[in-house]
Amino acid sequence: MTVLGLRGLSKRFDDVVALDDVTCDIDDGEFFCVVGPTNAGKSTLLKTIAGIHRADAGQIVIRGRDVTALQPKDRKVSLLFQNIALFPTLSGFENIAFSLRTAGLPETEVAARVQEVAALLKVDHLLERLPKTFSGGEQQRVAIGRAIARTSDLLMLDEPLTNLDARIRIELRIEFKKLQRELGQSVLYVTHDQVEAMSLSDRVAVLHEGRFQQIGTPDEIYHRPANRFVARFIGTPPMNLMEADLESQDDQPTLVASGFRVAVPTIKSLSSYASLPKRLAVGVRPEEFRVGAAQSTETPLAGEVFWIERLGSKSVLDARLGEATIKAVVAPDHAVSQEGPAWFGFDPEPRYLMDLQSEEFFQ
Amino acid sequence: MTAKLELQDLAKRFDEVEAVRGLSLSLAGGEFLSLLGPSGCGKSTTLAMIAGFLDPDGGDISIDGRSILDLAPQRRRIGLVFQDYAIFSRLSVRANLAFGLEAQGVPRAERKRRIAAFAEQLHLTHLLDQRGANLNMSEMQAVALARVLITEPELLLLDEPMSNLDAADRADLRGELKQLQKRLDQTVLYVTHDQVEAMSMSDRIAVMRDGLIMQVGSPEEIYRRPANRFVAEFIGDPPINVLPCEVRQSGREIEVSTACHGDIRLGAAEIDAGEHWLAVRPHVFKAGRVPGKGTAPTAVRFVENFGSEHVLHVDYGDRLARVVVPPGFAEGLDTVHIGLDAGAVHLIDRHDELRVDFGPSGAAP
Amino acid sequence: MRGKGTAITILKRVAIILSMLIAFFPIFWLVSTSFKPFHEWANWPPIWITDSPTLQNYRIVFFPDAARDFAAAQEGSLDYKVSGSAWKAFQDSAIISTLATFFSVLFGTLAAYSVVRFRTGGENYPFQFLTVRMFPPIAVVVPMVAMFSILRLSDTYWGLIIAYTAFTLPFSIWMIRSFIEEVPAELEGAAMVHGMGQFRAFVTVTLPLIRGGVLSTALFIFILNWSEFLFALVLTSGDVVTITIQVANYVSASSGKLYGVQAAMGTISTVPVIVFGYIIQRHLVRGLTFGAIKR
Repeated sequence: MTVLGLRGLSKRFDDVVALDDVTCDIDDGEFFCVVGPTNAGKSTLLKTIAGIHRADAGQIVIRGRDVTALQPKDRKVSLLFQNIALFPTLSGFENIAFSLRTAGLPETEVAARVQEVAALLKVDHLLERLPKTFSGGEQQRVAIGRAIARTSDLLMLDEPLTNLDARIRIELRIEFKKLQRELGQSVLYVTHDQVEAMSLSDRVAVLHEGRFQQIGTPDEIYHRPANRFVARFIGTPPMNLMEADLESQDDQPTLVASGFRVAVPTIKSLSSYASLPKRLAVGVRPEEFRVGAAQSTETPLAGEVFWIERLGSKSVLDARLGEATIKAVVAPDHAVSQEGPAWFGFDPEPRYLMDLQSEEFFQ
Repeated sequence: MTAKLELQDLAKRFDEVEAVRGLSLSLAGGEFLSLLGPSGCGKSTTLAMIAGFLDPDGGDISIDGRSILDLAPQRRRIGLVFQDYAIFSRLSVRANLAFGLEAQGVPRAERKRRIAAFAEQLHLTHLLDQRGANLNMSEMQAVALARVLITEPELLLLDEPMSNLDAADRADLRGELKQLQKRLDQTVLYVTHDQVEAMSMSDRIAVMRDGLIMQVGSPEEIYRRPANRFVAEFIGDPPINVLPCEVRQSGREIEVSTACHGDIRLGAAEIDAGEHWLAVRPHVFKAGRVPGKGTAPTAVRFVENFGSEHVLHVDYGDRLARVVVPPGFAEGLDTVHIGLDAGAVHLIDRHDELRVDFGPSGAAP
Repeated sequence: MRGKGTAITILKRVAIILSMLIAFFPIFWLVSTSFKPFHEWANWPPIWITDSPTLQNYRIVFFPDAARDFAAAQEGSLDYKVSGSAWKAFQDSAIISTLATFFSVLFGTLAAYSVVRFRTGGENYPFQFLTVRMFPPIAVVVPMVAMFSILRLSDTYWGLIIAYTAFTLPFSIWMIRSFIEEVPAELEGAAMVHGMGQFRAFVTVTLPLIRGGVLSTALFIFILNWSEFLFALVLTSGDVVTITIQVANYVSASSGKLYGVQAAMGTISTVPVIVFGYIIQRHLVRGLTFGAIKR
């Protein structure tokens, strides 16, 4: 069943278009992530769904009920704001109890529910204290507690992990996903961090300049990006996009650039094969490059490594391949361990061929 | 510019909190050193003392052998870039770059020459006449960096300069910054809580915690030979697995019993028998779909999809362990068989949490 | 290093002490004069601290009998209002200043909230408030006299309360606006998605956070009202007497200004301000630690 339906949602602030014809459906119990760069319109989307902003056009449907014109308090959604965790003048207990008390629940019930939530989030020891004494991770736990204390149709979270240290972020990320599964809560999660989006979500929507660029499972988004923006935004290091000419050699379609000449027999599977332009771009994920210290049939292309980023569990090679600058990921103990000449190879995937005009990948 | 920085027994206390506790560190000329640690570890306090915004309670700071404690911040010849790209948004990029040079009284012709050269190096030439307000965050940060570097500071301090950038921009700026630093032979002290930044750019990393330095070493050393449990857990993504184990003496060598892989022989080590920690990087576990030699079957509880790799959370005794696998590997899999390379594990003493060296083992596990 | 540092520190201290002396001198002189006998008020060379302190000046302020005796002794006469006691002046000023402060802060808070959260009036609206305040009061006083007399507000409590509220409102909007701006809108948003209406969210979440700011604004406005002279002078004619008017009235035909009595009245009238300030000093320091914002 659909928890949230957005139909052509648009919102502008003065001259700035924040949301442009946003449409999607979120299923019951789904973990749905909206990912995009700063100013993509992510926070505006959540605030519009919550009713803090009024939509200029479009419709918001929650469990079959059109809530577009309703007050925030009548929408039965819960929103955790970015940066703003807690009411500073209220204790941990009062913060978690907040929505229960405004709903007019009897105090015994409130207390029981707060205890239950606090135990779930391991914040029992914070109930009597004021938020300013909490650590960053603790603040965020209590804030999540406040958001889930009263059951809501949809829990919306705006960058809940952004300001935390990396370690705490990794920990909370996993705990949070487990919690969501246990509760079966439908979640709309907004982040700029594609790692969070990929690892947490059932489905991801990539938002850029107020528009959804693509909606799909993490695997779809990663392996079948719709356009240049998605391809570059998802995955670190980002996908390499190299311009090339499409030529026919011995009746074999071949990609030719200053640094490579690679046959792409599989390209014929594309439905748009007949109408492919002569010049296009080919995408290669950094981990899909084959790298060797010597030339071989696997690594036929000569390149020049000019910087190696050693990250411990892997190394990122920055290299020039003809006129293109590429990033390739290799194991830390790889044979290419010094800056200098190296050999590369790759198999172009038909799904990674991109039109240079529209910046969309061919189907 | 290439200057040596020396911190000696530096200490700072705020009321009840000892923010920095006797920190000693030296940077060679042209070295890129990162202070890495969680928030509240004292790294920013250290930086503020070097910059001159805070007076230390004790210890000394010297550049090229001269103490700079007496000098006001503006006389220390130190460049500083913060997280919040503080550029003048109403001025053009060119005027931003000229700002520090004007303050130094650099003549106009020389200013022009240096600005052109710097803009070229940082790929800012096309932006020179843009106003600061029209730049995106990545460009702003590049301008902030250029504005400081162009004044040729003896020492460059960077305080989490990339925190506000998107992942792809960060990856690009990392490379550019490192290469620029090498080319200028600029001494850099880089403060961050992001171990990827520290690993990728530093000549050496100082890992800090609670105002103390836990370990100083090259990225390689820090990753392969962490001094203690904290460093082992702080470095590496996904984080290292720290699993309980039982250590026994077995002749001259030791034997550890694990929850899944039975008894593993390690080389000679100085450690008391009993409960200790075995730390295993997620990449060290080798996962297979079918049983192999020395593998143990284990249940998959949870999968994290990172696109280029997946991280499985599998049962390991009563704990969960992370195992890295290629994408698509664990599709519909409830059980995987994981193998363990005994040469690549770390043994950590349970009492002092220090890593214990062990020699090569004579017998295979 | 430390030697040089200490010298600078000493110099700084000396400078601070000097400026404090300059700042506190009028207060010292006020209090000192209030205890001086008649012939020492305007003595030359000045008498810093009198050898024969007297409470006579204070008696004149509070007891009509003492005032009449004094007038007789001066072989002249005192103004008829002055020959009464100052109690009424304190009472009138207290009523007017308190109510005018209350209304100014009440309307100011609501208006400031509207300006901050709904951008009422557009970007430049708050500056226009200040422009109003920049207008010299003397320029509007004459039309106001006419207007107030037509409206029968002259020489009434409400007349002055309305005038004071109108003239301090720009300050209170301007000051309270800056406090509200520091409270993130998201905090109210959080209260709203958790079931509150906008006004209730403002009252329960934002108001407690800006309490310190509102109280310091109130003190500032109270002081403005308490010491206001021009409006009080032209909009009253005897039924209502504020303390500033009363002070100005301590003049005798034979001896000119009665400095000692004026000083005594001045000394007394600073007391309420000090007491009010003391009560809210905990809030005066902008101890507005917004624990909600993580940076």
